Amino acid sequence: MSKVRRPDGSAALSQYRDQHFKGSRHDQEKALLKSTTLYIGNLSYHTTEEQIHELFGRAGDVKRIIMGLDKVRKTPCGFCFVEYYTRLDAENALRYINGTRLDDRIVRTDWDAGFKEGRQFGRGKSGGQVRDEYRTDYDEGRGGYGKLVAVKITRRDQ
Amino acid sequence: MSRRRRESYSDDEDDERSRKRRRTEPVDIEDRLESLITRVGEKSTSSLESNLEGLASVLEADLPNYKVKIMRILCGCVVDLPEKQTVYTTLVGLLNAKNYTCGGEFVEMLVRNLKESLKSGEWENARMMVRFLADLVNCHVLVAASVLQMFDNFVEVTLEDNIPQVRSDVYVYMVLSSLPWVGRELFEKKETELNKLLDTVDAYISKRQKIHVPALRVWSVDEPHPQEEYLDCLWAQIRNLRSNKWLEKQINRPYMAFDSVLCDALQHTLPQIIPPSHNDEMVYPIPRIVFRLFDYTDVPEGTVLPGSHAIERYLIEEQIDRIIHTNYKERKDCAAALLSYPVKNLPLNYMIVEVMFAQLFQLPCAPYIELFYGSTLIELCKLQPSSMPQVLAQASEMLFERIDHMHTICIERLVHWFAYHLSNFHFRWSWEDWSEVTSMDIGMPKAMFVREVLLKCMRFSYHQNIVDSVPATFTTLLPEKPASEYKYDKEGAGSLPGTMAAHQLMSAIKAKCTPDEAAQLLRELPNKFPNGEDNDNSTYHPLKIDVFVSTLLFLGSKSFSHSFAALAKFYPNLKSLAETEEAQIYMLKVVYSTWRTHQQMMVVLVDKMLRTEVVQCQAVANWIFSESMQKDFTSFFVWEILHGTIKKMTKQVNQLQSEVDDARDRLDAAKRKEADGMEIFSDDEVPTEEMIERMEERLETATSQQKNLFLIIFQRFIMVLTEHLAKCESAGIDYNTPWYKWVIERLQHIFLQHHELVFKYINTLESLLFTSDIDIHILEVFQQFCALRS
Repeated sequence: MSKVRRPDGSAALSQYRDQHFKGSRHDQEKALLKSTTLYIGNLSYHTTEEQIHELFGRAGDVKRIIMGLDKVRKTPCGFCFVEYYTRLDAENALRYINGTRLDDRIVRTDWDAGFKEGRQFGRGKSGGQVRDEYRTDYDEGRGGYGKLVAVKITRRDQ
Repeated sequence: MSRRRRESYSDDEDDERSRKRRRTEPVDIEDRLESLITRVGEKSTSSLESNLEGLASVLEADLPNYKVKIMRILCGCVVDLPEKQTVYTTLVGLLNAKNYTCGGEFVEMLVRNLKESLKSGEWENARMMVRFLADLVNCHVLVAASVLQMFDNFVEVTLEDNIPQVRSDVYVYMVLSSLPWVGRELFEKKETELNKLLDTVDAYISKRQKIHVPALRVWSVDEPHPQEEYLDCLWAQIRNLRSNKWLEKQINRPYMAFDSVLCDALQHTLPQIIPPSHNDEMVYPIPRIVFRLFDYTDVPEGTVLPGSHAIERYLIEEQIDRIIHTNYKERKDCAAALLSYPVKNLPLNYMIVEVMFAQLFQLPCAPYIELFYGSTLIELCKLQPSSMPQVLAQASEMLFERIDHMHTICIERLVHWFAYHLSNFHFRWSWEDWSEVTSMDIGMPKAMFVREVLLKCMRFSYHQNIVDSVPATFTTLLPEKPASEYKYDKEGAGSLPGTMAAHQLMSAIKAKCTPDEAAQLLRELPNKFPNGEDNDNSTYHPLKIDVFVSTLLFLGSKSFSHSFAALAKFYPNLKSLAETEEAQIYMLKVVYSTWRTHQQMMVVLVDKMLRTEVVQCQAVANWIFSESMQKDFTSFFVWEILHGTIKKMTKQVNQLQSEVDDARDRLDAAKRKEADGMEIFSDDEVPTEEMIERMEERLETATSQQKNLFLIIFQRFIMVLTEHLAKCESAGIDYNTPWYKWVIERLQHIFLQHHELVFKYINTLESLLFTSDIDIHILEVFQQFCALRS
């Protein structure tokens, strides 16, 4: 770990660690410190790969974009991975794109340990992201109310 | 040297991923010293004077044990914290007054660092050190005459023979940029010698050649502001300062408060500092022009914008540059630091915006990535929501007004920035103010600008949204709705020779056939064009290419990922269809005819095909210059593709080069280990000589491919421009049409965007392509480029 310089400021690792990561905490940190992949959150369900490519392409050449999908419906569920060819480009995305708008929403960017098959699916019980299970606000770009609230409303209306 | 860290909260996030950074606690005395020294001058409850006094006493007490460490930290501050220069010169002055030896040793260390920087070409660091030494005269640390001697040695470089102008430029610049600090002292103590020095500078500046200037201008005209070469501008500002008896009000001078203490100090003499002699490996900074957008009439009442030849303008702009340089990696810190720069009565936000755009439009390249400027300008808007957005809107209006004479490269950067900016503000803009573009020819700069902005906005958003956000009169400037075109599903497809095969192919691919099975379906197709005409050229098979590629792209049309997956699955087919350059060019034509209305898709597809080596970069270059692309030749996406192609080639060469270097290093290290009798571990992966030779072969192939690419591009430019010039001459019309402006400036773009690389080929270009029989208008571009380094 001492060989890899820890990035600081906007390019620093966040507190988030993937609970499903196959390996130790140490392995995950090592991967995060070498990664050229970013997790992008708070996207609208309608944000397209093209829009993501245009914005994130400003930080450097994009190697690939993997859209996050609802596990059941296989439709976009508001997150994606952006992989760059170089770490510097990914750092620039963290520095200059995190907290700015894409498709009129403030997006969040964070280091990701690297895409593995299966990680493109939401982990919430209903198939989307966990955060959409329990949130109570109304977000038009993310299917309206959170899943639990939406279920309650449906029950109430019946 | 550790950067001071500050707490920062990102208010845009609402969950546990907040980014609090903790202030590091100094662990031991050395860390404490560093912290104390680097933090002096920051916001404090006590006055700067008492902080300096206190710190000087603390350091004096620590000198016996930590002298070298303290001096190293101070030398670091010279280069890392130049915005606090006068704070540190005062500190050094106080130390010198307390301890003469210490003062002398500090000067020695700084001079050693300066000599190192001059030898290794670290010009900015050297300049900060020269300026620091000059300021030390004001703190009674150095004798004025010895600093003047250093200046004389530097200016003497202008008398050297057979040197590139950029060499004498950098030394003169170092002297001039120090004069605002020490000019007054030199004037009071050594007026005659100072005048002699300035006479030499004057003689030099008036005989400097300026061939390179046109290559660096943002605007081609000098209305409303002349674009001065940077050294000319600084010289004019220094002359003004001189006529004001070297009195200026901008620089904060804490040492004035300590005059009674400092004037008793003993001064040192600088050792001789002679510029290291020139050698061919030395790289000097390339010149630049001074960008001006605003003048005193543009800023709000009650504020005064210093004139373009006022030294204050230079000092503030330089300070803004420094703040950006220190903070560019943290946009929020950068915006905060910029806006908190203390100025009295000045339109600081205007000056910040001007400097930001100056950097964004700087030729050949901006100092930082374009995204930095867009993102930081948004942060500035967040911090000053009631004024900064208006300043930016005003700047945008002014830039639009002057677009007719703006360089194509800068127009492109403006398009990128403006669309990005709008995408963060709901695409709201007063388009009606620009309605003049609706009645213009689409090739005119303003109309092209609006069209390209709308295209970019569409990429950030979607077609209908852009249609809805502009007035109805702007229809002619709107992009077409992106959609794929597939001839084999249209009316009349029955008469085309490829339709049956195309439909079979479509079904087969949907049924998940293998690449071989797909290839079988093409076997029977005759060598014709898709419209039925015969193809006499056996090097490629247009009908097969068209049927296969257009069907594949049509099937993958849903998204980039779908297309990439299709290209990946049928890669063998694509490779076998594109064996010759003609075939590759034809394949690119099919991509174009499928996705003509979706420029972004074309860009990513060509990128993918290059990276997977389905097409070679020469094919892309020749395709762009081919007749079929003439209609779109001035569209920005075409140049996006071409520059992307060059960049990929460059990255490939650099990658191979670093692999070769790395392998060589590892082999040499292993040989040394062996010679020393040490064991080589099996997992050390030592490359063999043969492996390295093969890598070097691959590198050589790539390098010559890269050179070839540039030669093709330049040659095609010369051809297409010469044709235009000849046609205009024989028809008796003015050659300077809008088309000509775009194209000649696109040629310049190639030179400037890849200038470091192109410089390597100068001799070949001169002997093979840019010969004296070429039309002067084209040759000029080459000559101006060469002048950048001469």
